Amino acid sequence: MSSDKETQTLMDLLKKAEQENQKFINDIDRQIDEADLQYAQVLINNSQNSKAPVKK
Amino acid sequence: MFQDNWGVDLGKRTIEKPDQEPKTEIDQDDVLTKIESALNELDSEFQTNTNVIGAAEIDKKGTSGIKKQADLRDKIKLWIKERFGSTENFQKTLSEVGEKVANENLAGLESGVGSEIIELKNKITQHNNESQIALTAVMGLKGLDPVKIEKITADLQVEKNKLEQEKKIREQYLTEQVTMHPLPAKQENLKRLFTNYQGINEQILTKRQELDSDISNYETALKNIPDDKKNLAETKIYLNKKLDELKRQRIIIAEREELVKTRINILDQEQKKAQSFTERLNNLGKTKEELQAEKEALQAKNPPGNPKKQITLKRPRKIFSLEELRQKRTGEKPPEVKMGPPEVVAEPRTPDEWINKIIKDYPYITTETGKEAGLDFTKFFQEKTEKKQIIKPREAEKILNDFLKQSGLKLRERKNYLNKTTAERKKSIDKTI
Repeated sequence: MSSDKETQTLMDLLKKAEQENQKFINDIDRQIDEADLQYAQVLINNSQNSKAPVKK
Repeated sequence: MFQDNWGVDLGKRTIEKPDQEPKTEIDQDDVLTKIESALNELDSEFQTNTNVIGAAEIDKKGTSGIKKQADLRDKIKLWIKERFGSTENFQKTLSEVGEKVANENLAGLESGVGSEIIELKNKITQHNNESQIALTAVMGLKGLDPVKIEKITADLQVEKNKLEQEKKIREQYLTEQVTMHPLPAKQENLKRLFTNYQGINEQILTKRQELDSDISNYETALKNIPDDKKNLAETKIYLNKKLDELKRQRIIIAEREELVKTRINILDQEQKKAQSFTERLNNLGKTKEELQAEKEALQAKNPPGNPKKQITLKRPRKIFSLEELRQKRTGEKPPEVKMGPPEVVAEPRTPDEWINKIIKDYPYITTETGKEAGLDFTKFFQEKTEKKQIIKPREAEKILNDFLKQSGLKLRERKNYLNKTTAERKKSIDKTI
């Protein structure tokens, strides 16, 4: 490849990689949020449901 | 209720290190009520916005619905951060609360119904032993009234039935408690969450490794671009800037990796605790002898061994060329490389060999076009070679060119024709015909 073509290819690749990474980060953040909220719900449910039993 | 602490944009996610202690002492019940209320609100938001989460809907309706939902999440995240210092701290605190409550619950069951059942079981065993001894002694007595023996036996049985009945009632109560107990569900949920975080972690790991390799390849590619033009320096600055951005993204991804690993570690501990609690729950009402028998049965089933350590071999990093990187990124397949020794095609030497090859390579021009012009290619070639034994490629090319000329093809047509592939030539001839 000529140096011009190489430069252009590299430029395109870097731009594309940057966009893809940003998309990936956003997606991971969304997944972590989702999982954190589910986890919070599990912890809360567990804390509230595990009341000591009434002695019969 | 949350309004006072809300309304602040959280901005980009950062690692939530518990850099500060919670501002006020946490009232456990108050915390739980507030979080639950916030989560309930979130649930209703989810229900309202469930249908707008699809990508097509986002495109269609904009982000307003999603934004509303996101705002609420951010508010909860902010509230958690303010009250607990970090999500990790929130998870740890709630986990401790859960552990404390579960422990109290189990201790209650163990000291209550659990120990009552054990006591009853022991009483029954003792009663059986004593009954056996008493009956043996009674049977040994000579001249005892059989009616009396029957009565003693019946009394012992009544006593035993009473104990059995009492044990049955307690066992039923225990079964109810165990069935309703939230621990098994919690364990399942923890397992699901653990898998969920692990899935996220795997995605991050793959991405980070890919990014490491890409950055290294881009750096090499950038170094290899020669400084042969004046405006290239400016371009290189731009490329370096882009490369720096990728490195910054790599740091963010590594932060996420750290964050998810923390969650996985907390969950791992949680799972272990839940497992130990579940074991305690399953062991309620079991006597020492029963527990020992279960342990032995389990050991007989799974004898302890030395599991072999798994060795993971690190794959050497491949350095890609710029073209390979482009193909990788665009999903374009590289040209197929034929394996094995290169195909050896013998170069024609004799006039006959050349005739066969040219007829094979240019079937239309040598037969159809030549025929139209009243020419026979084989005869033409033989005449031109003047009985030579060996024909050089250049001579063969010249003869073919002469043949094409005499067939009526113009110079450009001849050139085009000879440059085209067989399929293209066929198409071109078909068109002409």
